[in-house]
Amino acid sequence: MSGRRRRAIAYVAVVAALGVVWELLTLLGVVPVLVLPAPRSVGQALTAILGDPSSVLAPITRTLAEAGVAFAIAAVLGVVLGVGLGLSRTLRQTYEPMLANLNAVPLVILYPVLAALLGLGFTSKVALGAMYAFFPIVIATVRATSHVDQNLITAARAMGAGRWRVLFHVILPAIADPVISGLRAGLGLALVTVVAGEFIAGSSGLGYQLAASSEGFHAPVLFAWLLIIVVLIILLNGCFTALTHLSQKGLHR
Amino acid sequence: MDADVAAPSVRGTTGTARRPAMAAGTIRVRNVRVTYGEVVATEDVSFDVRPGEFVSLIGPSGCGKSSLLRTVGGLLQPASGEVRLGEVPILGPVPDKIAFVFQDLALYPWRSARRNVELALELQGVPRRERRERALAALRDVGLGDVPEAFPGQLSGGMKQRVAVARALVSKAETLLLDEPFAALDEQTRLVLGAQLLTLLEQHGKTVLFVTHSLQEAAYLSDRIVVMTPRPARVKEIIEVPLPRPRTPEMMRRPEFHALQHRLMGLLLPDPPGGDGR
Repeated sequence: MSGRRRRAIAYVAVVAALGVVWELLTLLGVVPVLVLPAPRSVGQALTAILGDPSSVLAPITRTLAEAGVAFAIAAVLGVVLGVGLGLSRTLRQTYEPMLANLNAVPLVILYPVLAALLGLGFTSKVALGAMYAFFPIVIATVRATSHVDQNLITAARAMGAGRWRVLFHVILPAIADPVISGLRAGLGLALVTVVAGEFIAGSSGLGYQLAASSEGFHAPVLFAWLLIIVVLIILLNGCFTALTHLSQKGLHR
Repeated sequence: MDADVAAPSVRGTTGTARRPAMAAGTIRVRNVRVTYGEVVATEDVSFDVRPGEFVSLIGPSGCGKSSLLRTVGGLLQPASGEVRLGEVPILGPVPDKIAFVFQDLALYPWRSARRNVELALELQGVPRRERRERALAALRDVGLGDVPEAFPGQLSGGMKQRVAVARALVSKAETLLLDEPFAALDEQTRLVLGAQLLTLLEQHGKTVLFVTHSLQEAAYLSDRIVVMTPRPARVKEIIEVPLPRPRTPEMMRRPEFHALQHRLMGLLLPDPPGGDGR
């Protein structure tokens, strides 16, 4: 309990310190207010935005829906393909370097193509988000699957497990930890990419709000939306951590 | 020293000999050749393991003992020859008749000791409640009744060893194939555990085929010892252990125990020209 309190104090202290630095920078005029608005004006912009719940909730649900669908597609494809590739030595040796190379390509460059193919709406954002989320998931899954202790598989076969039971009783539990890390990275990337897609070309969502407020030089509004996104990401990460805890509890018995 | 010479005298000498509960049948290894890729691991290996008998396989390291054991258990298929359990050829794992304990123990780190033992039953379709009871009983049998919910990572080497043995015992398979199960333990622990294991297996009337590189272990635990040659491994000699059952640690000081160990050592050394190793 005291450990938790100490951590909370440290957390608040850092946030407060950043706020003070921010306030000082604007007070002393080190940075033009047009670029970095004063905390007070950001606060005002934030209360104005939050004062109209529908104007906050619409972009949030839009972005979360895009990111959620993108993540779901990437998770299913990444885990299924990853296990498949990881189980076959030949397939893994053929495709693992290819995945690593593709992962290094800034796929954002494909967005104009995706937009031309799928339009500027929901679908192209989902496609871009799914592409980004896919790689950390599939790479983590391939690696984890290929590293499963062969002896655990042999022992299960000796106890009478066939192919599917080896998969469900040995391989999936054995790869859970690294795959969950991959999923966490994938979720973050899906969200960031979807926001970026909306920022580049979109008419709704959090990214669009950022684009609109920055083009109009409404720095306080821009920063208010940034704060909203940061809080959202923290909440999402917290949810993921809670889910991970639950699944670990279910697995480790 | 033929593979097929029966040895009723070994257990005939004592009244407390192990009695196979229901004779599951003799394991017959016949002319087995095991290969992996181009490598011939064993060549023309034949021997029997009779119900209730404890047979050790010894030989130079890397001679293919483990491959042979896996073949007996149906995890590998012989390139030629065959293994039968009773009259039935072994073509794949038969978990209700043959259980393994592996050298590295193969415990599932995310499963508690109890659930590791339960897995053997789960894969045989035993209902949850019965699984739990039998697993707890098996853990009590091996002296781990007080830590059923501990995870492998929280247990010492000797305790993990016992979990693996409990998992092999819980299935009611009559035959146990043990692949150097004490390899990772220090000398004292392995002697103590070996003696306890022997008592346990005698109580359960199990048939055992045991791969080891410890001559002392082989001499102390076995009814018969199959000595293999370097790779490709063939049967060099099959030796009856001239010690009564039940075994006691005191027997390790007997002259015949030393003589046996000496003889095994001689068999494992490279043949002198013209000699037969004796």
